[in-house]
Amino acid sequence: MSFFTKFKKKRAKENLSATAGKPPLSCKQVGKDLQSFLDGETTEVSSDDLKAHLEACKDCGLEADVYRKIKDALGRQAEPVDEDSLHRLRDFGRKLADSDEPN
Amino acid sequence: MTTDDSPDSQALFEKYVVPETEVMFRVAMSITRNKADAEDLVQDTMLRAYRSIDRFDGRYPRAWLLTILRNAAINRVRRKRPELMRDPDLTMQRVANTDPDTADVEAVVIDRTFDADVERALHSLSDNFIEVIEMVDLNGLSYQEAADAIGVPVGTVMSRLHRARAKIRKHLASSEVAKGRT
Ligand SMILES: [Zn+2]
Repeated sequence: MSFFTKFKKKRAKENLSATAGKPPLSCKQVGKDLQSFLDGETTEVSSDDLKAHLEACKDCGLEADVYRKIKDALGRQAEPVDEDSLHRLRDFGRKLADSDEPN
Repeated sequence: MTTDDSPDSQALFEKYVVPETEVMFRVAMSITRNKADAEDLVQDTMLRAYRSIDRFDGRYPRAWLLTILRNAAINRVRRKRPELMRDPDLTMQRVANTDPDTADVEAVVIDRTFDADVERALHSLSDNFIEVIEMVDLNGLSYQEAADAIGVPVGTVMSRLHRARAKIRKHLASSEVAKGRT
């Protein structure tokens, strides 16, 4: 990594801290929360700070891309559910809801 | 059961249980690997939910139902041989037989190799890791819902899931290296 890149990165982090009013996130903190953040789950650090860091830091941005790609590919492994089964089950549920006795 | 509380229970059941049918069925498929068993399991879950809906507080219906489903599944496993429950080879076969014409052509061209690599990587993992990936990435559950479906603390779901994806990532990186050499 060139000195200039390092300098730009450092400056990006300083800008983040200036806008967020908090100490800048370290790449380590981001790495810890990255997958939870991509899953839309709660994270220890604020998601705005994470977003800002991912935009400013090339390494963490690439890391996020890799995990996004993996998550998307895993999502495509899901097989379509059998519509007949679903239909039967919804029917079963509605009949159950309409029945007077729970058995 | 008195007639006084029945209409309420029925409305609650329509409101909370019926809309979750698809999620319950997906999770049941992950657990049983078999359509008929999965249907049985969801029916069993619905019956149990119906019997206890008066005691349900209305918060997080999906998590509540998945907890019931897991308990129902545990009862079933006691009656069945657990080694029949999972068969990754069958999943591989089904994917291999997928007709490419039915899928989006562009997506197939771009993603087929990557997806196949990811699938291989997934099936190289141990069952505990596959399970969390299926619950969260394939079935679309939140961490808490996956925790309820599997019966482990949410922190366990999180650490297993993150480790599982890191392993997949490592697997992909090493297969990239292998490809580069040939
Ligand atoms: Zn970083």
